Amino acid sequence: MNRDELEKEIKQLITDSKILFGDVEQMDKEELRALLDEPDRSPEIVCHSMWSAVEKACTEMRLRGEIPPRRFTDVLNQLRPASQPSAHASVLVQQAHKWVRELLSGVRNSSESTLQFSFRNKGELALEDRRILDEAEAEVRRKIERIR
Amino acid sequence: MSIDDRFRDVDWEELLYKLTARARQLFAAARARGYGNALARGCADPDDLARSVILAALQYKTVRYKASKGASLSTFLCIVLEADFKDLLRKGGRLNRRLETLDSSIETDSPQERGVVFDVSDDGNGARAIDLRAAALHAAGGVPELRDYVTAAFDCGAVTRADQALCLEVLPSEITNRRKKFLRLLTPSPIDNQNEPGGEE
Repeated sequence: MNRDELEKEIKQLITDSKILFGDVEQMDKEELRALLDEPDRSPEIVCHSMWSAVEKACTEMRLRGEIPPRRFTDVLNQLRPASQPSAHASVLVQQAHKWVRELLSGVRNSSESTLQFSFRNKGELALEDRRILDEAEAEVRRKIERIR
Repeated sequence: MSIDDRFRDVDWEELLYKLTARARQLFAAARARGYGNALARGCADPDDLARSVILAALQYKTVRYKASKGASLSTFLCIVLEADFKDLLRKGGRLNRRLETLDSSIETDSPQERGVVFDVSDDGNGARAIDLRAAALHAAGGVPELRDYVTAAFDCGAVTRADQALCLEVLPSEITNRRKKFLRLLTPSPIDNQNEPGGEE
């Protein structure tokens, strides 16, 4: 495969990936959260990792005697995990407002959710595993129906 | 306009989600099309790539966003992310060529390492240019809802979530679920991916 063909391939890959998985530009925050929600890479973990990276960059700036620009502190304030409270009162108030806003925004309607397995290769499950999963799925469905 | 003004009122959380989702999409698509080894040689993770783009935008040295150019910050950074992703694939190819130069006795037909995805060979011979649509259909197996989704997206021209939901007569949230399922199906697990598309043969 020569270089031109490779470039063409990669361009096609980028276009096709947008068709198959959807255009992130057209997704709202809730949809993005749902898409990113994986057991070991949840949106909270994504935010925490970004916050840590920006925090590290700010620490390096301070060690050089520089003051981190406002855009850096904005990122830190917006992505700050609950386990890392700020020392500044204004940031704490901002975070409290955010939590209250999220609490008041309500929860997603359960009818919008579809049950799905969180593991791979479910085709390789033993019969006993399948029976346990079916029972668990039925139980969850019953609970959802009761909530409705 | 100061640099900070260019980033005023940005929802960084949403921006981070967009770039991370896009990076995961690109990695899954590349692996499905047989570029898994090239990505592995680049030693990159999709989430790391998204973070590096945001950090570069904040540092304003190599990535400089100017709102006056017309694109929104998220559009601009998605383009930067795609460019970095292309560089990563090219770098993977270069590293493989270097390995072959250093050790000409490398047996290119030897079985792939467990968990490493079958690759497009760097000389072009025997390259497996897999159509993403075909890879997705293969990954869908016999699940009709997933096959319908691929057909709606690639063959019926339904690109947006709303169009796809209308086309398949399901809720938009169901479309998100199906997209997520494809992301999972096309992202091989390092332990048990032997039967996945693009996996070890």
